Amino acid sequence: MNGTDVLERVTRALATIDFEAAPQACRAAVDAGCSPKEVVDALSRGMDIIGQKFEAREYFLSELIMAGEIFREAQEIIRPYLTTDDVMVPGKVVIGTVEGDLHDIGKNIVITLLRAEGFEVTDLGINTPATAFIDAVRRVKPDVVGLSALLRATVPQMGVVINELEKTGLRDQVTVIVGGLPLNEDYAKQLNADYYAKDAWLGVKIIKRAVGST
Amino acid sequence: MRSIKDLIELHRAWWKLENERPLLNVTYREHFPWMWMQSDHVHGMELVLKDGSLAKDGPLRPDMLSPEKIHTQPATHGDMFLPVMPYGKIPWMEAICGITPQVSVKANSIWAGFGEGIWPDDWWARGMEVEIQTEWLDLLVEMTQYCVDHFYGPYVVAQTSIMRGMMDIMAALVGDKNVVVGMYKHPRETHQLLDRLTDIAIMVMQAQNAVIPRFRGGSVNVWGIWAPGTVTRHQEDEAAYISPKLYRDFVQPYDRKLCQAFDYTAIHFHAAHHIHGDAVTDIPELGALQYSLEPPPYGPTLSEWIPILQRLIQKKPLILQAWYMTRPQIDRLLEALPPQGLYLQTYVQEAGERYYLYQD
Repeated sequence: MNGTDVLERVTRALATIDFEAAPQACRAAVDAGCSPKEVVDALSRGMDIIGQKFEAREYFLSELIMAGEIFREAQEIIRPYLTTDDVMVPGKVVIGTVEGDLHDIGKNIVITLLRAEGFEVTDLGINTPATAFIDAVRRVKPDVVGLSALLRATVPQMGVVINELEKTGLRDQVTVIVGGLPLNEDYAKQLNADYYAKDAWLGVKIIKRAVGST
Repeated sequence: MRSIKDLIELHRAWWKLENERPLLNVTYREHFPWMWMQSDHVHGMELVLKDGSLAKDGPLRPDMLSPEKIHTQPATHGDMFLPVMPYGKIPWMEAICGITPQVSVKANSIWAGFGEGIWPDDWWARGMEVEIQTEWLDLLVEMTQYCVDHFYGPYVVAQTSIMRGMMDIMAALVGDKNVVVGMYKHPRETHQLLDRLTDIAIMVMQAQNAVIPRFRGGSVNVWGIWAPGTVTRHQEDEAAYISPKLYRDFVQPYDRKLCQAFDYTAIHFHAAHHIHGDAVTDIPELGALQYSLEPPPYGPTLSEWIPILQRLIQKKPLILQAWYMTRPQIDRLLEALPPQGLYLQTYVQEAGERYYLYQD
């Protein structure tokens, strides 16, 4: 089996959520002489297929979660083969559910997918006050701040966080992305966010674009 | 006892999809046409006097009334009984299963086990056991008994309002991600855990039912619907993010097992669960399905909902709750769905009055 074939197996295993075949295919690809970057690229192509199926409603959030998990495991397999030049963190993200809101499934899926893509993610958890976001931005110096909410009543808290970023002079240093069911593009603009993501998959795509990793 | 008896007969027919008009619990500020369909208007006032007779049209004097007699009738609203139940904000099932509830004043909520869960990622390999917290179970039973002792008579008493289902409890234990990972990679252990949690849920529901007196030979559920047997209500919020196949493979069997343990069950779903409607109504022993019709983007539009609901109501009674609907939206829903098995609860608002209003 040549390199192209084994890389195609990697892509197919991830795209079909075959959690047993995916690590085998990754090992086979490395054994066949494929570089870690080629394997990661093959996995990324598999994630693209996952995203297309999610958008077509063939896959659901459960499949996004599982794909992120398979991607993470695959990275563990190829990690020993990575050279210093291969290791590249595409960006740093600070993310949390805003104060007053306890819902975190969407946020957690975004985190799983971002980590699978190699991002360094600081998860502030749920019910996060604006001060915690400010502290984290000062400490971590992220490229992106992600704000999540499920309840309409807590969406204004996103504006509170963004205002605090303005007041503390940190707003220009970060890209702010907001996500959650009650939001839309217009509402995100009113909040002075840079981007709105209608679901976890789109959120990751936007973040990758924002940091220039796609 | 005329109208209470009629109300019970209406509810009895509803469970069998045989009611001739829908059950309505519509709150309004003005007189809209459907209010005249609701029992309190169909049957009029039913006031029990000191001598046990029912009040007739005419003057009312203090000596005609007594505290004991006036409260012999349980309170109703629309077509529903008004139940009293143990404090509903406590995540009882999670607490009983060993997950410490956390109060969040700002969030106006008491939560348990969000996100990461309390068990390790390799829970499936460790033979983890659910440790039942009898203090929480005892407190729930004590609170149920309190409701019976202090409110039964003027009100009916029901089980506590939020009884989490098996997938919700599992997520609180192992974390959201590990529920899905478990379903894919450790199906045997996942089935075992869900089965165990089902047994616990049944035990908790039976413990509450044991102290709630029978009312007219049956019981009343949290929505105020009487049934000629035992009732329950549970929810599977976490199922909103799994595929219909995973629901059928991993959740439906345990929802069914729970339904088999009681006479008249109901499962609460949110709008996002519309993808599981067919699977859940395929449970033969399920009594009714309740949907909270959160407006888009939380779920389908009314136009998208109607064909789904038309299909589901052929199989099971539906309890539909919308926070606010306009008069045309209510009319549209009532015209589109058959009365048999339909229960609608909503608040009437005019377009533009509320931000949380249904949209087409």
